[in-house]
Amino acid sequence: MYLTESFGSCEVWGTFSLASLWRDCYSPPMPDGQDRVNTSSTEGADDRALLRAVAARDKEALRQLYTRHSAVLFALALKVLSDRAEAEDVLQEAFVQVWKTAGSFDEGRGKPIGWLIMLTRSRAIDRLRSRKTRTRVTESMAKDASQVGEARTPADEALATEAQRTVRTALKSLPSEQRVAIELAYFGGLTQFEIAQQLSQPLGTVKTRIRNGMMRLREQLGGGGKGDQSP
Amino acid sequence: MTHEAFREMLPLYVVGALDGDELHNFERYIAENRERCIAELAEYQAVADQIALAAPSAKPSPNLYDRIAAAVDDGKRPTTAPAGAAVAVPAPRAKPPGFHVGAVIVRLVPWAAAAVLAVVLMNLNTQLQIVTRQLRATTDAYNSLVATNREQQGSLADLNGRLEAQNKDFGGKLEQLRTKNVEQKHDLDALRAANKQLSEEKDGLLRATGRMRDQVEQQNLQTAVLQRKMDEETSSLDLFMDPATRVTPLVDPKGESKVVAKVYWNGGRKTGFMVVSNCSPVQQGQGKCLELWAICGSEPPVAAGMGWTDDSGHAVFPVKLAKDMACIDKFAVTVERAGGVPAPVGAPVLIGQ
Repeated sequence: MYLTESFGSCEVWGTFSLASLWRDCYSPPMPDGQDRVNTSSTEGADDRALLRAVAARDKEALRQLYTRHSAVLFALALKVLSDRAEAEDVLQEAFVQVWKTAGSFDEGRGKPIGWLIMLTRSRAIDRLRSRKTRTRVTESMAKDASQVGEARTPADEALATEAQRTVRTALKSLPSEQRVAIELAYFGGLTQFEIAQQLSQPLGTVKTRIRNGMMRLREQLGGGGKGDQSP
Repeated sequence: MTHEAFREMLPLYVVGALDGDELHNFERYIAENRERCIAELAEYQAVADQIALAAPSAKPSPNLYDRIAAAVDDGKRPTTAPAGAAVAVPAPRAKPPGFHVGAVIVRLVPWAAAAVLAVVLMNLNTQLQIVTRQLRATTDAYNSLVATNREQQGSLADLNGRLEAQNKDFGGKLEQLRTKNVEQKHDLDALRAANKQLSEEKDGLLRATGRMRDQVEQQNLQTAVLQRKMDEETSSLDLFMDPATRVTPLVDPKGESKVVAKVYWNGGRKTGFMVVSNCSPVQQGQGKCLELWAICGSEPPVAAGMGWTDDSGHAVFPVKLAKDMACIDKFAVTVERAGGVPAPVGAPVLIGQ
């Protein structure tokens, strides 16, 4: 019974594509400044409208928000934790938090996807820091850092959106030492001091690597200010 | 903290690398300078947020949203007492009149049975939840494997298709290259044959050139000999044509032989030549020679040239006086040893006046 239901859900999942999710999610707002769709029917509404609907206890809006962003957020949590079960727990916690605190989201401080990423990443890193084996995980991440930003399999490449490919290309173009330092901070949750210890490099060197790497990423990716094409 | 320091720390802050006092000072600076910092902070934060897209693509389990929806529903019904709410502790009841222990026990039996049953049901429910969770995890893993397998099969089919197309393309190109190779080999063989033929022709031409050069040199030598002879003939012809040239016939003084000879002498040029016929052969290389003598009065004869006959007894040789003479009255010829002598030794075989 459960198996059949799961298969049914999997079929539904198969109809989604990350590309369409990103396209729908980051389409620019309507010229008149209004939401694309009124909040009584949340179909197609933009993220801000969806968050307002969630704050008004609209579960359909929460479902749409999940449908749009769960893949990216889950991939982020999985990258941090390397454990599907824990990544799903983190995603669940993040969306429950959204449900509880959507009303506190400050639209003037950024885009909803940035907020969702922050909620997911901070929870994932909290879990990572609570692990006794954290050191081993980050060491593994340091070793695997050369692969970060690259599609690991043809299937992964096929699923990757244009935005994902752009970011991966930008990361791949960085000198490896800059990329490793940034990845250890962002995905590994390490502070600059911990990264310096991990890489056996002076603290100033680590700061410079992260700073230069981020400046190059800003040049290549921009600050997300061009419409809504990035988080 | 200066704004320049804020800008230097901003990239580290957005990826979560700042810690300790630096983090504290940075956040305090932002709080105190919100208007000045907000735009730069938002720009770098957007860059950092995009790093999340670098994570390998992955999908959560299909039923995860159901769990979230359930958790949301549970959240509507608080499972813990609200903060500040008084704990409801039932007040102890006052013993009713006529209270009896046995009666109480009898009345509590159904409640105890119900409590035991509830505990059993709770255990069963817990075990059921565990089994359900395990089944759900197994299903998720199975679905993930199926999805992965499906993707890999699609990728494999695509790779096979591309591989077959490339193989076919390579096969065609290989066949073209083989054909071209055979053609080029034929061309090369033809070029080698032509080269060999040209080489042979070149050798033949070189040999012919050598032969022609030898012939030319031979002809040059012959030409030089002929030129010398022609010069001599021309000189003789000039001598014949000169009216000052005198001809002196010579004969055997004894009159025994048929030898005849003539001396052509030009006194002005002090040169001339002698022609001999029907003479007994006096050939070069046999130790003897014919020597001509010029005689003036009673003066001793003066050598005037020498020569040899051919095997038929014919001879022509120049006349050249060994020294100047006041006059020449006679010419005489003697047979002397080869190389000539300063004064005649043999008897005259020819003489003329």
